[in-house]
Amino acid sequence: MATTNQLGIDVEKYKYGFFEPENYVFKARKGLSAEVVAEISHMKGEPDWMRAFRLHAYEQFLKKPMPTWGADLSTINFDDIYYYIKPTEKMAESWEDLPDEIKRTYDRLGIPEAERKFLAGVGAQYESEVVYHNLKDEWEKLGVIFLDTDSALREHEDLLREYFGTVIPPEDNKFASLNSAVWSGGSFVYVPAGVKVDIPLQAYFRINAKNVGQFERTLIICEPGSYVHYVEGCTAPVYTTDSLHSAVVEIIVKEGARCRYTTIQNWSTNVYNLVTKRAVAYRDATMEWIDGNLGSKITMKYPSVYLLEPGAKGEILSVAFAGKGQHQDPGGKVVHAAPNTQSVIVSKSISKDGGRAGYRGLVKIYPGATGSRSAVRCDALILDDQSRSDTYPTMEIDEQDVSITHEATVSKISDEQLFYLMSRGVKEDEAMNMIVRGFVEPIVKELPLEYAVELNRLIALEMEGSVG
Amino acid sequence: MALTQPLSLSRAAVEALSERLSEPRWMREFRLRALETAEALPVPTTSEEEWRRTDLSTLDLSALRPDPDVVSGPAAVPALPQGVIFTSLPAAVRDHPDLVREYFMRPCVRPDESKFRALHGAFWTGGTFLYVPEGVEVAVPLASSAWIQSAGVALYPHTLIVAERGSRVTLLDDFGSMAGPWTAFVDAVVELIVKDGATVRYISRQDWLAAVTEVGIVRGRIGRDAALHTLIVAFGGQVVKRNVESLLEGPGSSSEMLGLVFGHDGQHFDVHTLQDHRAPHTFSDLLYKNAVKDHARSVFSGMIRVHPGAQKTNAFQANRNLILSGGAKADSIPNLEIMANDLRCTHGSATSRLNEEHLFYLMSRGLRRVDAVRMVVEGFFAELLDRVPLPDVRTALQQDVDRKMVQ
Amino acid sequence: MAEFVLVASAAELPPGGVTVITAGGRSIAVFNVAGAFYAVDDSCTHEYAPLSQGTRVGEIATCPKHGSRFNVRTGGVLSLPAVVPVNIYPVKVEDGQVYVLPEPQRGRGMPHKA
Repeated sequence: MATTNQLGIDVEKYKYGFFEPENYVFKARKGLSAEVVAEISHMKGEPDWMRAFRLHAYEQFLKKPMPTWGADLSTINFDDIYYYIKPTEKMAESWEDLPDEIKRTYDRLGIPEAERKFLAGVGAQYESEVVYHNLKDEWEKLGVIFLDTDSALREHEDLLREYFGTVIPPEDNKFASLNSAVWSGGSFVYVPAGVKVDIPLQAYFRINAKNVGQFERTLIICEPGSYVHYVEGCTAPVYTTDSLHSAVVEIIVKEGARCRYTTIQNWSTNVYNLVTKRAVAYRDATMEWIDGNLGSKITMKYPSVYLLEPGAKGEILSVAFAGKGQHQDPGGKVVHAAPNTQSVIVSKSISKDGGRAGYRGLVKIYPGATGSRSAVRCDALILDDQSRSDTYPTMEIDEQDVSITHEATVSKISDEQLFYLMSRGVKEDEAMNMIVRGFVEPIVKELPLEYAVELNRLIALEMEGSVG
Repeated sequence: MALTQPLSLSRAAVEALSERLSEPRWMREFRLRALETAEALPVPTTSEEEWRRTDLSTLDLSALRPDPDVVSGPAAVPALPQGVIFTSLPAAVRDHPDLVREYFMRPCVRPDESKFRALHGAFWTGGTFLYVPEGVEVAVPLASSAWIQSAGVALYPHTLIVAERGSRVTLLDDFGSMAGPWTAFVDAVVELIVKDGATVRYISRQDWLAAVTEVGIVRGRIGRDAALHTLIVAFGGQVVKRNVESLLEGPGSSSEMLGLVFGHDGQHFDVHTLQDHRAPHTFSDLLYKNAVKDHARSVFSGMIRVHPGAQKTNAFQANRNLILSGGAKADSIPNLEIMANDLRCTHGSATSRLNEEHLFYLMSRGLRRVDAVRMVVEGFFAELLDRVPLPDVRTALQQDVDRKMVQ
Repeated sequence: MAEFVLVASAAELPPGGVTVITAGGRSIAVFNVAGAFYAVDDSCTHEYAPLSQGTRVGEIATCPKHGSRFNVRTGGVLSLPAVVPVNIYPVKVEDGQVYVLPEPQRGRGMPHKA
């Protein structure tokens, strides 16, 4: 039978007709074609089914329309992007083995130090490839797998074949199609039944070259009763030309398991950040997305939780900060497809200096999801009269026996608040800072201390020069 | 050669209609221009966000035969203060051409906005014209109506209110039909022009007792320190898609927007509201309540838009839905687009079911279940009806709700 | 009680093929998977796109709109974004003719569940 994985993509169809490149290419040429896609697969030495998956996805990418809602994506030039850049010949065993320039970057970000101090494992991706990956022995002994996704495909092909693309198929949307065609790097996490990884796993994503696309692919599988907290950070230097980051993250949380996924996104303000993130939660499982978006030119990202069995829970906490020239269009989606499922969405957005931030989301209750509850709360703070806030929540309720609430507020920093703080001797800029910190506090307090500090520091940086 | 438009929507049909109404040339030309616009515009499809939840692809435009014997216009005309004009729109075209030319489908709702607005411009018949001169208060509520009495027709009723500076008026606009299993199409336009310092209260009650497909718009333009109160009620029809819009254009303007939908059987209601704050110190307060039973579906899609410079705005929006049966469905899409920062803006949405404990409590007091449910539904709508300062209207609407309970 | 309705002759519906009939007010897609016939609602449970118009390999039919996968034998969901199995219908072949009984039965099966 031609079918080789869960998705029924015909491997035979993609077997012939593409040339095999003679030489290893360090940097695939600019632009995208079936040849470039085949080249990426060839260079990685992938099995046929993955090559077929990529080429099938590329066909979908050509067919899918650009989204006509959300942010303005008309300025993306798909032909002016490097889809694959391999920065090193092989992955480093230790930070010391990395080329100086890359090591300096991560030192500056403080990652080696963080790994020593408080992380269970670290992965670091530079352009298209993961350059460093490590999981502490104690977790490896318990059967936890934490690898870059390319290595996982080599070492755990069966797991990938079973799960890859089952949560976000390559036809889902244009940017998921694109990622499925040219994905490289990302993390693969597998937590065996009953294992609770009680300190975070962390991945750092860095775009360093100009005009590069980063398309990491992350897959997390939490077996019954397990727990993991995965944290990702993203940065890039500022260039005058734009970059594209288009990740796909698939998460499967089985019975009674819990997964928390935290993102602190601080891409430079010339990165298009168009990410598809989706989790499924089975019986009594819990999925939590904590999503902080400070950087990027445009972010469109709606982490989703599909509650497929009774007792499943989903939580989405979203913070967005849009400064000059930025459009943050984040949000979240929860689909209640089983009885007695619960969800909470809290969004806090701040816009300033002409920036545009907000929330776009969906709560969907399928027929039969009786006794389900959902609460959505969106608050927006607009710091000046040049800036803009948008709230687009959608609630589709097909069941009678449910309780759904949504509330949203938009406000500014009131003169009374400022006056009060300043009368206590606080300077105006510090007072503004304090008020903003208080505004995002309900979400920041959910973060581990180190990340809470980082998020607050990033917000303070964004707030610099707020007072004329 | 293929006909681009069915015969019933042809130039000849427009000319015949205008001829039969003995209209002046300017109105005939207006209709023909609107028809050209209609021909150029496509019927909206579900790929457009606004029409995502209402599918009119099965609507047969060729079956749309403008109703020749339309019954619509002022219900009864009481003694009115000097200068007030309250008449049918065709009569106004004849007797007050300057006013109609100035205000009819020009400054408020325009034919080029969409296929259905354009068709309305080409084929409107009947309707009500209400003009209140500067400073005049009309103390008694006025009433008008539109009534469908033949099957298979298309009805294009039009209500136009112009309230000059500092005037006050209330209009109750009633839309109904004979009962029956037959179909009809309604494309309604309501234009409410509320000038500086004026106050208009507009109450629309729709109760089609047939399989009517309705598209329509109620739009108000509100001047400085003026106030517009709308209450838009929908009980009837098969598929109802409406827009209700308050454009707060003058500083200090305000709008109260109330809505009531009660759907049963397989009815489909899709209501889009807009609170458009274009000036500083403006205030809007919206409360839309939808109850659905059997397999009915309601959609509330509300937008608060605050334009740059509309500082000191207060905008509130609340949507409450009550789902009374397992197969019923209520969507809520409360949106905000805010481009000013000195404001207070909140929206809330809640969808709930019949609370079994509450019902059980009432039944333990000796009420039958059906009566207990009725009490809950009455309670649900009471918050809304309590805000209508017209006791007769309140009572009538309560009776409508009771009737829907047993339908 | 509904009765079996004729779909096509088996010869008209070769392996790998699909045809759509309307019966009992529903559009039903009938697939030939390597000589075995299966029938499901011709409507994705996510946003109602016709499953007959997507790609299919073996027992797996892919929705043309967002890529949800269904097993046409069991009706089960194999990949999101659909979360509800598709209805299946009994099929029989008699004298070289394929018949379907237009009485929907709930499909079974969710992704990541054997």
